[in-house]
Amino acid sequence: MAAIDELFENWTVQARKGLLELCVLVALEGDERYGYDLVKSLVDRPGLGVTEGTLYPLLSRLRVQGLVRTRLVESQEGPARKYYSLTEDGREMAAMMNAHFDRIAQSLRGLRKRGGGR
Amino acid sequence: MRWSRDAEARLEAFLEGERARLAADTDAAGSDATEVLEDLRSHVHESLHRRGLELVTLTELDGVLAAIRAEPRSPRVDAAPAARAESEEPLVLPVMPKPRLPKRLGTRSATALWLFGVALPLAAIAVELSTRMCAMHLFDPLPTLWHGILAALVPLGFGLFALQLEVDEPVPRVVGGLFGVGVGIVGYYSIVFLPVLPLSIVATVFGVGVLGLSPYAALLTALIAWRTGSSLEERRGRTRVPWARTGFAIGLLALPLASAPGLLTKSWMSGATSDDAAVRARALESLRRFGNESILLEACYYGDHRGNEPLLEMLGASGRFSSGDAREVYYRVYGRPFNAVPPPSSSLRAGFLPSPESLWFADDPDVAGTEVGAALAHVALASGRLDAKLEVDAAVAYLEWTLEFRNGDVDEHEARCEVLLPPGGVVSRLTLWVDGEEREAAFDARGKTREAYQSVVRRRRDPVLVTTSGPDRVLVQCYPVPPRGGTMKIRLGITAPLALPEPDRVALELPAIVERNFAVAPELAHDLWLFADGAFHADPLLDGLSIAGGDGGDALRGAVTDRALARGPRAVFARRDGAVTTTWTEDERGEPGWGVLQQLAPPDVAAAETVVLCVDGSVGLEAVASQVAFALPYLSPRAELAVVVAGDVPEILLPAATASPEALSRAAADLTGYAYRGGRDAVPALETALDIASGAREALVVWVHGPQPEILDGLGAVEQHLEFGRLRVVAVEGAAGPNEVLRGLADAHGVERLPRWGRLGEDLARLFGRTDEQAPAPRFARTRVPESALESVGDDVVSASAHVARLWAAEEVRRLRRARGDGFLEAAVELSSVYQLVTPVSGAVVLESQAQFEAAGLDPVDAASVPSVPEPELVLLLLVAGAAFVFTVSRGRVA
Repeated sequence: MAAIDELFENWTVQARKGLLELCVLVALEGDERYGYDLVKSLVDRPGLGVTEGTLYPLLSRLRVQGLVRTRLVESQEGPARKYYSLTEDGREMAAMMNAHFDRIAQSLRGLRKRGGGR
Repeated sequence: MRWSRDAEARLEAFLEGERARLAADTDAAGSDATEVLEDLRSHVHESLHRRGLELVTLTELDGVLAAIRAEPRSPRVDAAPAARAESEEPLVLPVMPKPRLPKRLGTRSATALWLFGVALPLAAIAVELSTRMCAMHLFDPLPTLWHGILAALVPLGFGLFALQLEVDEPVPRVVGGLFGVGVGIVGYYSIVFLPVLPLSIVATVFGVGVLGLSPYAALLTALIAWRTGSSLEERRGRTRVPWARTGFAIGLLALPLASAPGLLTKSWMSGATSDDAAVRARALESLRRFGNESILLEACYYGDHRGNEPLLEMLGASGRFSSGDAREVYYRVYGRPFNAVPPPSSSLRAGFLPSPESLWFADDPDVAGTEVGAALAHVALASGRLDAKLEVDAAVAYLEWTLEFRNGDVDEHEARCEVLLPPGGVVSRLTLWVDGEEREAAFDARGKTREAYQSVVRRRRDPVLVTTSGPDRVLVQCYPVPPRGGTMKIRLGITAPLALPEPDRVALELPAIVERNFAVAPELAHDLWLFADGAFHADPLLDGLSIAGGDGGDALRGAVTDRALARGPRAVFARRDGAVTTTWTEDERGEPGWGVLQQLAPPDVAAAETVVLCVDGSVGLEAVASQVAFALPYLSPRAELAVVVAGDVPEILLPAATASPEALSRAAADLTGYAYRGGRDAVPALETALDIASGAREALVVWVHGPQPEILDGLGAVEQHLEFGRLRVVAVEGAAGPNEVLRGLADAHGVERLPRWGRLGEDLARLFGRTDEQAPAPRFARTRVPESALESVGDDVVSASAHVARLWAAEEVRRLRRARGDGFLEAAVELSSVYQLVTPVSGAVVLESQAQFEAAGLDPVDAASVPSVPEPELVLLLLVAGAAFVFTVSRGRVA
């Protein structure tokens, strides 16, 4: 049983890795978001199983890749607040990933309906 | 919110651990570690802040850190954070420092860039464009519009980059590229200005060297900004400012590339003045195909005193030549005189870049000289009026051409023009309006009048000077045309013989301005009022003219544009009594009892056995080549024809051969198919034509020419041919404009000008027709005889005006000059002075006051002694009165 748990654990890690970027881009599809709130909303999202320690490096990488942009806003209450929003490239990437994910999900649903594709 | 010391230490330890983890974690690859750590720090602060804590303890901090550090939660295993024990410590550091913002670093660089990379270059460009100081004293840093645009990219690129430094965002490629271009351009200018750097440093003491240092200030600031930008980009995970290196390379090469057309043009210009004929031909061909006209024109007006390409200019890589060389090359390339085009100004520099000369050369380099010279941008012909009286039976006319010049500049200027007179015409009156009053000229020796003119010009007073400048040509100079819209008005009186196309018809070729240093608006028309004591021909009639008939003669009136006059045809025709073959004029100015007898003489052009047709191969003749071909069949079938074209070297299209239909057809095809290009030198072709003609017994050289403003080779060989007086040359103007070769041959034997009465083909056909003995053309010959000689002439002598005596005097001056006997010059000057004529030995000058005349040793003519044309109003009155008289008489007869 422990072996199955371990296998499942590994699978969820791989699945998260693949989907996490899409989740971040989808979360930013609306208005720009304050980084703290964005991270918190993703951390609290059930099933994603993600932490701040994972999200901040991911956000940094997405910005370096030009998919998101940031803006610093001075705050009276503490450190400057960093706001995130999608760039045009980011929007395009989100649309492509969404479409691709939908196709995968559709295929999966089709397989389920036909009982393994037979 | 205050922090305990332990909590503070714990957070730093946590962040250090995160730094190590990020370095090792492949999932974190591509992220900016510094940024992530700052984000985590901010996150911790925000979490604690939201808990409303006054004091951050280890307990509180660990709760937050545990959530951050926790392993991802498995859907099946939800691990709870472990509770941790801690020891409470007294609070030492009340507040955590805020995370450092990269903004500050960028702001410092941006501020410097705004100051030295944007404001200073902008100021340098503005000062140079408004003063052209550097262009005049060192080299032109902005010689073309492209240089201006490239220089403007410096503040633009730097400004955009400075804006980018102030926001925490990746540098867009366009901004990076433009910034790089700007760095390249200031880099290039830094190299160019290097030799004058010490001078600029010294001049800074006097406050004028700052602009010379601006490239270095801009370059230094830009390099620092580049480094800052790169550092910021590295923090964003990029290795460098995008496209900046590519932009830099482009910027460095852009200025030399922008200079390439000018550099090539200058190089070809040097080649075009080479002694090597092959080099010269190649260079001219390149200039005709690819040359930059505005650069050539600038050299024509201002010489080559400044460089077009700064760096290569300073290295001496471009050639040097005078404005005279440039004017010669300009003619060879474009086939027109340089002053037919306005001086280079902002318009030639494609918009907004003022030429340095337009700001610094207010003076006219050709003022009071002997050539029309450089054109002026702000002086124009304001109005023109041409009045004439034709004595048709005596075949003589007197014309008065009133010209008014206007000067729109802020400085005084001299108006200069060359006027083509009717064939055989002579200036017999010159008037200047001074303060609304007419002042007449003094006629005296050419040198004396010119000296008086130059002396008064130097004192900036009002003189006008007229001297001859070739066969049937005079140079008119007026100074000063007052500035700021001021005007200067002069009147030129011209006595001219009327040509006799047939015994019962006269033709008057109107005068025209063929070269000028002032502008003439395309629509400017001269008001014409020509009165003849006979009937004008209605066909052909110049556009814009109409005939008003009357009892005492006809009036021809209307307006003809200056352009139409210059281009021709410009002849008017009138009927005469063909039976009148002799006229008599009492010579009031000569010995008492003497007069001038005019009698019809043999044809002006004798029959020719050989005609050598010499055609200018310049581009201006291309349009009339078919007309030359049209006239060929009018040659006598007994004559021989040879055809020479003045190309870059003389080309014999047809060796001397009988003018058979086949030979004529071949010559016509060769002439129309010839490649007329640029401006060619007529002299070598004339030499070849005269060589051919000298081998024939009775030969006539018909030289169809266009403008040739420069004598490119000496006239010696041509003059040698003509010296013996056996060869004849008829110059036929195929395209209007100044011709220095014709001017140089003014004193040569046997050179005459074909009167232009109609289209070139018709005039040439008329000339060729006269090579046949069957078609003689009459003309009057004038001799001075005692009145007693009239007894032997007979009764059919018609009385004529004093203008016939003036024409005799003008011809006598020419004869005296050619004879060159003892004291000929004094006699010729005396004759010119007595008859008040502008001849090759005399001039006419009007000075402002009697005192000036006396100071120059000149006597202005008596106003009562000058010829005049009846005022149009008087003529009209006479015509109306005459008509009324005829009407009254005819009614009386009917009654």
